[in-house]
Amino acid sequence: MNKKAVAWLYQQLPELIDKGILTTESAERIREYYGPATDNTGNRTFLLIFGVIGALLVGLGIILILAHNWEQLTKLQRLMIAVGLLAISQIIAGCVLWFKRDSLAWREASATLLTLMIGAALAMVGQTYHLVEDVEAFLLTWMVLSLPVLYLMNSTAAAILYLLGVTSWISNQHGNHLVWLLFGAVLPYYRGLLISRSKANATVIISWVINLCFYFIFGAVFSAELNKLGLLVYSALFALTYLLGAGWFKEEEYSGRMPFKVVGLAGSLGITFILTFKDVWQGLALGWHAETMLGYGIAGALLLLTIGANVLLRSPDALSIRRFSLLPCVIGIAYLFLAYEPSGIGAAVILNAYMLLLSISVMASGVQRQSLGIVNMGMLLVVALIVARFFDIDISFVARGIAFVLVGLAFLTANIVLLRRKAGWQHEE
Amino acid sequence: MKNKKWLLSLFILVAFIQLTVPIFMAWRWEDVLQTGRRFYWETAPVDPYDAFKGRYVALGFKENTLSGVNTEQLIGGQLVYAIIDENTEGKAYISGLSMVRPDSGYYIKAKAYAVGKDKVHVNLPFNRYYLPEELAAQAETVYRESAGKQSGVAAVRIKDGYGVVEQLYIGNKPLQEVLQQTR
Repeated sequence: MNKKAVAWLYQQLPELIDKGILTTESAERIREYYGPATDNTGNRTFLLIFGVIGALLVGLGIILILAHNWEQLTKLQRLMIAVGLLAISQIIAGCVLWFKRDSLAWREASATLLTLMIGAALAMVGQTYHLVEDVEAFLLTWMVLSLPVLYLMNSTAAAILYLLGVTSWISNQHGNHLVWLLFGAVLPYYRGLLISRSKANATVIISWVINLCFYFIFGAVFSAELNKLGLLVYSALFALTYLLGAGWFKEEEYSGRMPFKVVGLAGSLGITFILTFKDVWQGLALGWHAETMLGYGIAGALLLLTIGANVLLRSPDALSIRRFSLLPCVIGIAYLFLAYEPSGIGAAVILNAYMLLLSISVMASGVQRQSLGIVNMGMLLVVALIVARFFDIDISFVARGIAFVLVGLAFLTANIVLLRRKAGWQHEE
Repeated sequence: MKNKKWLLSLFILVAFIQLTVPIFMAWRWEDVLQTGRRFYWETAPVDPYDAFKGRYVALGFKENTLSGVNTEQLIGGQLVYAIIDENTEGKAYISGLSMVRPDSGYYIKAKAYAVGKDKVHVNLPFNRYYLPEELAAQAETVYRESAGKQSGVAAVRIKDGYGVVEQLYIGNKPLQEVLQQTR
């Protein structure tokens, strides 16, 4: 509930009581229902941020101090320090769980510290015994031991640390499918966040982390399988991400902060642009039949998923969403084309046509909605397409120059006309 | 209230496991160090920086390959058991490879990489020696100056496929002693 609205309501209450619209009791009950009108969430947010940053700094500082490797300490003393620090952070976390479970700041800060101290204890043992055991084994042990912390403490900061840890673990472990189990393990927590605190800043931040980590992990796991089918697979992933954002988070203002639509759209448009180049298709034509079965399996499954999601999509502007989210199908058709015509021209023409139609339709809906931003986005797509084609095709400099001037003039004119019309619309209103 | 108690008991259980893991690790390596057989490996240290575990001397080993093996079946980075033996000078070397854990003798569980058709390189897992921050750079200098004149040797304790570096020697003296002399 909007605090300003509550404050206004409270201002009105005495008047309403005076006029006999509300009784004193019902006014009191309204106050009870909405709670205090003064806003102190700002303070709490600060406390939370400083708590987490403080815990991060203290934890990292302790790790660095231990890394000095004090020669005066015996092995037993080292072990006692490592285990002792871990135990202290556990006791703090335990006390928070028992006495201060309602305090977000305490939970997040103590969970952050505990997560870091687990790593510090493991690193200290490794240092004492000159263990290498690979960075991977160290990170894996650390993350597996930290996983329960984020659930028990219900901590977003711990979840983010966990995700970052898992992602840096996989970056040295290409092709290890265990990572899906580790990544999947955090999803129930994320789902809980989306349900219970869907509009909190923490939820938005962890959404971005999850999105970026997912793409990183996917790349690390499947990079070997996907060399020629990669763009198709990624376009399907981006389309699914976009659909997830469009279908799931319907409120406009809120969905703009969430990463799904932004990541999905940016990725889809990027891939479309890359695939308008004939040379790219020629490169793909060399040996894409030689992909592994797993590669084909992933591509097929993701394509089916995308089609299914497109069919099931229920949204007032489903059509405008599908313009973007059906890109993988367009690319799929282009791939089929490529099989019969390996020069890549046919496939490139399909993608160029798609991008052109897309930009026109984006401009059209921009005009319809009277949104200069959307119109300009469509314009930018057209400009990108034209610029790219000029590097592709051999045309004289004069012709290119004239075309650029014309596109530039069109761009300016369209903006001026739109601005005027918009002013006119507002005038009429 | 009941819910809270459950949560706390679960937390205590998790905390217990978290504490057990580093203690168990320490115990396992301490056991190798106390009861493992000592081997001497000829080394070649360098000094990179590991922000997480502090400074260490990175060890390279001269005897880390095995010739005359058929490498066709070997996947790069596959875990194997490298069988360790001593030559006539009392220095350790790899005398064989096994895909399964040997019943007896001394061996190291390590990653193996094929070099050509009949040679295997084994990544010996004990290739770091951690030193106090201010000593690591000095240790590297000492080693570099001694290179060619004296050999570096690592005393490694080996048991049940695990190996722990016990001491580093430059020439015949322990590294710490050499460092104290040069200070």
